[in-house]
Amino acid sequence: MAASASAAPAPRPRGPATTAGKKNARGARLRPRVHRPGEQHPAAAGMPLLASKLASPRPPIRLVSRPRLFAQLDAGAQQRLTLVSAPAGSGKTTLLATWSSSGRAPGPVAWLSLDAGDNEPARFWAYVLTAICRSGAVPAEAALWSLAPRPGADDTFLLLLVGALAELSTPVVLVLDDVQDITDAAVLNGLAFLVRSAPPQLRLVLASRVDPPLPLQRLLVSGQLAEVRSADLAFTVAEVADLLTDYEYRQRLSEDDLVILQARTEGWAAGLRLAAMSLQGQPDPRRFVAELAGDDKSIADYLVGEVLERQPQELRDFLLQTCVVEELNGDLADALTGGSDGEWTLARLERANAFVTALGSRRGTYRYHNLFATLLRCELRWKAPDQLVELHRRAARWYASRGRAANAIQQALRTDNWRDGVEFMAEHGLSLILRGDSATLHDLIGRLPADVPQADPELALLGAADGIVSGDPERATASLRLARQQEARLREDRRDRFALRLAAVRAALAWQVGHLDEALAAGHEALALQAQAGAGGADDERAVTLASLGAAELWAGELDDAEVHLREGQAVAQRAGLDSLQLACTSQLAMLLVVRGVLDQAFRLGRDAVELAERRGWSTSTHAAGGHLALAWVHYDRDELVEASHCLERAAAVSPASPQPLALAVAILQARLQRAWGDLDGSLATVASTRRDLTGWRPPAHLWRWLMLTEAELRGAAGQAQPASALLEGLRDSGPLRAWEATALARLLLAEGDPAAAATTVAPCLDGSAPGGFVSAPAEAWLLDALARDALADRDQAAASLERALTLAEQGNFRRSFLDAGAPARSMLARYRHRLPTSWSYLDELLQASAESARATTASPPTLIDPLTERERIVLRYLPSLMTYEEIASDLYVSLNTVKSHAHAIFRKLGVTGRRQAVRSARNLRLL
Amino acid sequence: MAEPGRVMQRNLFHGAVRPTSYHIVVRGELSQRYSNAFDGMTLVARDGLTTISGPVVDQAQLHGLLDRVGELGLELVSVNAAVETTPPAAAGEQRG
Repeated sequence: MAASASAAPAPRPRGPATTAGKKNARGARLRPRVHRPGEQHPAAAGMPLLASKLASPRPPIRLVSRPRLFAQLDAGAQQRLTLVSAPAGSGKTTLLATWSSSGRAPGPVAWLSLDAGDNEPARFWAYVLTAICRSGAVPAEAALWSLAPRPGADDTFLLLLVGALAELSTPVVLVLDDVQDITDAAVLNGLAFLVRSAPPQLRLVLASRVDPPLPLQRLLVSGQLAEVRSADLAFTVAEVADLLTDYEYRQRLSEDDLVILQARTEGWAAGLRLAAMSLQGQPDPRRFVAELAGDDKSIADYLVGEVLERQPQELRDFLLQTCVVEELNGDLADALTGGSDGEWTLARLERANAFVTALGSRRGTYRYHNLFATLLRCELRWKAPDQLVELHRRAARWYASRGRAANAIQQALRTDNWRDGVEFMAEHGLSLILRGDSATLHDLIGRLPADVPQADPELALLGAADGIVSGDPERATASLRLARQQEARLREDRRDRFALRLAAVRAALAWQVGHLDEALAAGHEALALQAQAGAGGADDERAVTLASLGAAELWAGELDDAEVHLREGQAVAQRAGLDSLQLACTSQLAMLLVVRGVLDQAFRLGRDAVELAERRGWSTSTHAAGGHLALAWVHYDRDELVEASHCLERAAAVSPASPQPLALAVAILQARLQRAWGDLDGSLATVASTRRDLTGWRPPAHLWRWLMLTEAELRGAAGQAQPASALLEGLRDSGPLRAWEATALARLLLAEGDPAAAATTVAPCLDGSAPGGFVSAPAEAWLLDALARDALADRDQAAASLERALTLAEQGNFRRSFLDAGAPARSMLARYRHRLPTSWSYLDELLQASAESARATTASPPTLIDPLTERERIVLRYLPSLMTYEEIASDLYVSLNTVKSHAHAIFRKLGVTGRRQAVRSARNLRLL
Repeated sequence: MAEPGRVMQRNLFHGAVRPTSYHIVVRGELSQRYSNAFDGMTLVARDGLTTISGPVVDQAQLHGLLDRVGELGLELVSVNAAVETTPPAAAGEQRG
């Protein structure tokens, strides 16, 4: 199942990331992954999905044909929703399974048997997606394959699901069996949304013991709901005859007997099947029918007793011992009974149409009919209650030995055997949580005596991992503290594993809250512990460690280490099927390439990350933030400001909030973008508020200097420059200048008219002696050198440097520095054009872009010469509406004349004559 | 806040009522087999009916029992709260 984790995000023909980029977005086109029918949906990668829940049960071998019910279902499947609502044992599942495999449905049938464990949105929707995708209705490249709900699935996912369903070319019938087990409000709300909003391609069939709390009434009124109820499902006398037809005792029963049998059971399917079994081997079937009719006992009670009594002791034991699990195969049956003929017995039971039903797709897998399972479990509790704990323990061991941790834990909890549950959780919990299954941990903790989780360091550590995954660092911090306090309680043989996991979780939490030093220390500790433990296993811990350590190194400025760790993290996460960590690593790698100034590669990786996130429905997750930011930065450097703003918005809108270094980078780009749009005041305000928000978090020196230099540059542009020399002094105090700091200073020095100092400052960037990155473009250093040399009248050197700058810039379509350098750069480009051996076409593009950008900022400044007052802005916001001036006045509690005079002032300032023109002009000026 | 017990009594509609006895009647006479399914309740079978009686802490437990009835494929005939012997004044207060 790990193999289904996406390695190669398919290119999408649409989406903001691909519409921009133009000729430079020539990323390697990767082929879409081909999905095989029957494959597990990637949303469920690692989640313990039971195949039995997704398999339509095989129709019984002795099949009663029920054309009247088929006709009802046929008609229902033409509508949005069919509700099959009837008591336990009415034959709902059998009917639907038979109908599903009859080929009468209007499209492929997706089957899902629900149970109480599905009351967790992420798990429920993972099952639904898997069911739909495995049905065969979904082409390999369809969006449905790559959607994935996040824990605590949000509305976005449901919208994406509905959208993806609407793209299907054939209808798909989704059968949800046992809907009564769904009680969670979030799951029910999602299901209600699906009922209301699903496109016509989806035909829902819900089978439930009770009418589900869904908005059915409206559908009923509008004729969109078909119902099959218990009166419909009840067997008629003719159907009873049909049911008994193959039994040898049938000849000895009269028509009257059948009428009596039908009346006594009221056509109840389970009663009739039990009666059919009881009748086998009766010396006098007619008398048995008469006795049954004359008896006041509950029919199921009576017949279960009868049937079980007639079975040989061995079979009776087999039934009682194996009824404790939901899904059964020969191997598990043997584990439960201690016997060796489980497979044979199950096959025999199915042939006899007794108790079990085979599951369609997987050979040798069976389920007990729901009601029979319940009755058998009652019998077991009655006859052999002492066996119960042991049976569940055997089942749990069997699951655990097959790596199905969630099932093992569920089995252990069935008998409140929390000791085993805690063991299994300690072993496999991290793996479950990283794959989106936090529900099992919550289940377990909810069932434990209150003091147990408090005293168990391993559970506390898992609580911390859960807190990190669900974006709750406070809870994670508290749990982590608890884990370390209780560490001494650990058994000797658990210490190594615990230490490793502790370090990995510490690194992840530290990165999430922006404690880079702690993330680095914990990350290195985790790697060292892994090296000690030797190779093999522990992919999960390694992926967590590498993703957090790599990100921390990147933002601490240790780019080479960051690259090594992020690349390995990407590979490990992919191999282990940990999509969210793969996304995290890809996102951060994209940012790393931005920081190195390798725009083409940064764009490609950023797009990979964003596409992976989009396909999974994770665009707003924190892990996607780096990808959005990387794309925004590349667009900004390429002077594609609209796209840059769009991507930046998405980077800023992630939830939970990004780790602080990332948030700082978002703010810095925000300020730079505002400046590029010509909104200098806004950009200075952004820097000021960012500085304010930094209280409580001490960024590493170089990030701090990044913010300071950005501010200095913006102030310079606003004519409130601080002397560069003063800044330089301040910076030199806190360590050697990095390449990007040197270029920023050189820019300031040039603006101050000191080309000699600029050339000296930028020199270490040119020969590679300055420490690398942060967010620098190699082209920029050469451009600054060219400008300085030109100002110093060293024309040969200027031409050579300009040539280098242009060659480097063209590789990534880098434009930003040329445009920011404004008129001097423009003039130099024009003057040196004839002296340069190559790059004329790119040079001309730059010249044109620079001229356009200069015109744009002078011709239509986003701030008006005579700016709107606060009151006028408020009135302006009403102008696009259909409200009259009178209505606006009453809305604002002012007089009509006041509104009119504000409106006229707005028209005057915008240079227009009417309301509609004003709206258009205000939109152009971004005032609306 | 000061006296949680009293708060619970008032929350009649939110399921936190004081333990009350209920009689749940289902069709058919049930054997001992079912006594485990209704843990802590007494089963009395008579005249083709079974009465499942016993203390019920709150509405959630009551609904759990009714679910169990459904799960076992039993036909529900009636559900009654046993008449309480609390003074009328107290009963009125509960509903307020």
